[in-house]
Amino acid sequence: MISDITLGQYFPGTSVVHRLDPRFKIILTILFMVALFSARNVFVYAALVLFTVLLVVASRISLRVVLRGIRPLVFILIFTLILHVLMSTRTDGRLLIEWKWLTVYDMDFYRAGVMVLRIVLLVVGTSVLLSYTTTPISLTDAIESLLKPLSLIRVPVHEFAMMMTIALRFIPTMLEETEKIMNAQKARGADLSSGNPFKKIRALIPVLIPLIVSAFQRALDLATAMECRCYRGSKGRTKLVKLKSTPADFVALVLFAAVLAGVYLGNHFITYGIRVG
Amino acid sequence: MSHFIETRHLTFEYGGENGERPIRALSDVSLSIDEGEYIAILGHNGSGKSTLAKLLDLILIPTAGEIEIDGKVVTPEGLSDDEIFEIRRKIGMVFQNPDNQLVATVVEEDVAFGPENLGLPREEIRARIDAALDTVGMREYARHAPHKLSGGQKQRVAIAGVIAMMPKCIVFDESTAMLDPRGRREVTDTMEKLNRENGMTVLHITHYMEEAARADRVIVISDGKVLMDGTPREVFSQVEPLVACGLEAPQGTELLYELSLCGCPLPSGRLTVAECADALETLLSGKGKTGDV
Amino acid sequence: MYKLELKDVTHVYGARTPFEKTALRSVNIGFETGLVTGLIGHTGSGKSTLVQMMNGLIRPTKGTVLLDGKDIWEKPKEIRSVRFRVGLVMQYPEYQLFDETVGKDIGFALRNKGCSEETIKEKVTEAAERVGLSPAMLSKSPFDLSGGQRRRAAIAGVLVMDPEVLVLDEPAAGLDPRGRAEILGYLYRYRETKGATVILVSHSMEDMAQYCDRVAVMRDGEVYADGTTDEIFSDPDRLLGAGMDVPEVMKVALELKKRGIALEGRLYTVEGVRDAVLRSLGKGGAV
Repeated sequence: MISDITLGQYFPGTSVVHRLDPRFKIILTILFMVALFSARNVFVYAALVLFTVLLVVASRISLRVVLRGIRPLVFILIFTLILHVLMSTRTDGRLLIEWKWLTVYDMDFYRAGVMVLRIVLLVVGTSVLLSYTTTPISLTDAIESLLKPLSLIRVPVHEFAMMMTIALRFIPTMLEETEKIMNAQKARGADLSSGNPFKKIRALIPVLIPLIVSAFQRALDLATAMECRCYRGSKGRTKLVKLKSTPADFVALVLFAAVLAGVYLGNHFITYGIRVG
Repeated sequence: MSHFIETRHLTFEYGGENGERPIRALSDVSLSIDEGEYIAILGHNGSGKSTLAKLLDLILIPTAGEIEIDGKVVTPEGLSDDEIFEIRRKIGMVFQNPDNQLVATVVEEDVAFGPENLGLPREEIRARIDAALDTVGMREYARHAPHKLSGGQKQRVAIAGVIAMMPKCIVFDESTAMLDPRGRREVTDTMEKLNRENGMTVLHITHYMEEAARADRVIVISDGKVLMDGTPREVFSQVEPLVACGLEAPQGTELLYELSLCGCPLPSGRLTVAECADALETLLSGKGKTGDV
Repeated sequence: MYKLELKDVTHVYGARTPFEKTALRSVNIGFETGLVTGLIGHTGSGKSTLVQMMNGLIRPTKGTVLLDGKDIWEKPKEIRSVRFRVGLVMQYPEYQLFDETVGKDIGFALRNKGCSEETIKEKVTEAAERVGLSPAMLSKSPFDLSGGQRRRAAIAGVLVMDPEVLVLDEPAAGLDPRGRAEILGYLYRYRETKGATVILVSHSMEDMAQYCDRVAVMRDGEVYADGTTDEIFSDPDRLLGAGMDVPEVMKVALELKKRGIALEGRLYTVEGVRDAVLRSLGKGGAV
């Protein structure tokens, strides 16, 4: 069923990572990404791999889940690898293949490998820090809270966050609905799968129109329901979830900052080993 | 003593743009509702029963006539935003489609939505969520995603979201229409509990007879007018006018009615299975007794 | 031979994922030509899956679906031809309306089938008539109709295919008593005029008692009981035991039986009990 596809799949839990303040988690994720793209040395990368593994362990998310998260990327990874090996214009390292305009150096493989590794670590790290361990709604709260200063210059931060929440709430509902409408039209003999691309798009009209009509209906219903529950925008509104930082958040922040610092120091001081990037 | 809700010659029309004749959804309805009543509003599709609900929560503004809600009079001029806000604190609404009224991706955060809008302190919100979820029996689902729940469960979450605002009255605008029998039972049980145990005023808009029969008072609306108003017993014993306006009586009542058409001496105003069986027992045991007609 | 038969069908959603769920477990059920079979069961009992298997929207994980004795999945590429023969009206079908006019929308299936414009026009008018929509309605936009009219237009959009088997998933859901009676009446008449095999999914035992020749009760992905309406209602304890209800009028009859007054006949409809009472009073049948 389509509705089984979950966006930003959250796995309930009570691990250290789960309990971190989502605002901190966003900042930690940024630090992690910077560290990942700053690393220049294989040893530093090895250390980052180790760090990511520790992160996964700390989150108590099963390795199987993490690996399944990478699976959809396999095609992109292979593509990245080929592209980096074949299309590289750099001419360092040992020349392995030379054929017409194509030159492949051993360094190309290292660089491609690092690129793939970066993507994998990036996906694993951000999933573990954010999507697997943070509910979409607390993520939205965190974004609202982090962007709050912008509301001083009249950026509608609250409205934006509310829209995100509602979108998250309705994505599964709309997916279910799409499946239902597709089935209803297929039951009337609609052919949604064969034909050329132009025909295919035309064939989707009987699905898209009911979907849009129903989305508008839902929006109207929801707006009425929200008003009846005394919603008046951010005016006079309190929040159930108060994002509270704990000492653990600061410890995590220091740890991640240390990792970033370590990456820079490593780049600078480790002079042996292969340098990439 | 004045009533909690009173409508006086309440009329609502819509359409009428481009020189067309406006359509009258509700015409000259005068009703009074007291605090703590459990009322079913019964009517066929398009009878105007939902329009009445929407007028009570100021989703619609009367075209003519007025509504008085807890001392505040709503006229065709409407009210200010703050006044509307105050009325909506007192009258909660649960709608038909369970999917289209839940805002959040986690049950308890949805229940928190109303109290948050009221600007309540955090501890108070927390306490109200727990109490509301307990009342509807959904506490164990507090951290679940609404879209994974059954229809009846979603409606109970919606009800919790309303009672967490502690209104005096809840209007159920066909809240059982899209549910299966099990979900309908869950929701009607909850309504009954809210009325009996928490003393809340409940207005249940429906076209299911067996649900209406559970209320203390039934108001039948047909073509925008109040057709009948009385106890379930009084209303359902009038099988003919009910059928004429597209409704029906409970099967037991209908059976007695049909038999009396065939010349059997049977009493009217029998509603429950036991009552109907009593009447038939008297008839069939052939003691010549015909009961109190 | 059954018109439509499901043989040993099993269906598993999301196989080999953490969301794996068996919706149907070795279900065997057959539908005889020209009969109305009711399908009842709680939400999640597998009814919806079963129904979508009948016209090939869902392919069973295991087992076969036979239409006129032929496996509908023999040539998977030609599954569409099965859908024209087994018409399926989904729950709340009014959501499927999309075209500019009601007439065009009703004709959608026939355009998919590749019929000529003349045939389409003729059949659309006929189908609309069958559900009580006047020809004037056909030129309106489906979004200008009332809820009840939209429902009927959507049903006409399936009837227009003249399906030999008509499957309806709660066609009267959300309608008031008169609306229910009307819709079910139209479908009943379609069966009468076309001799079609009808499968009616409903939550209402009253509908089952009133309209069905046979009733199948689904429970936890299995067929819990299957028989003629008389057979099914002759064992109310079995129904109640499965968490199903019996029509209210039947409860009155059961209460009387408990008190030592036994009635004879179709004790699951108002007319049935009425006639039974009249008979036992010695007044014969209905007056």
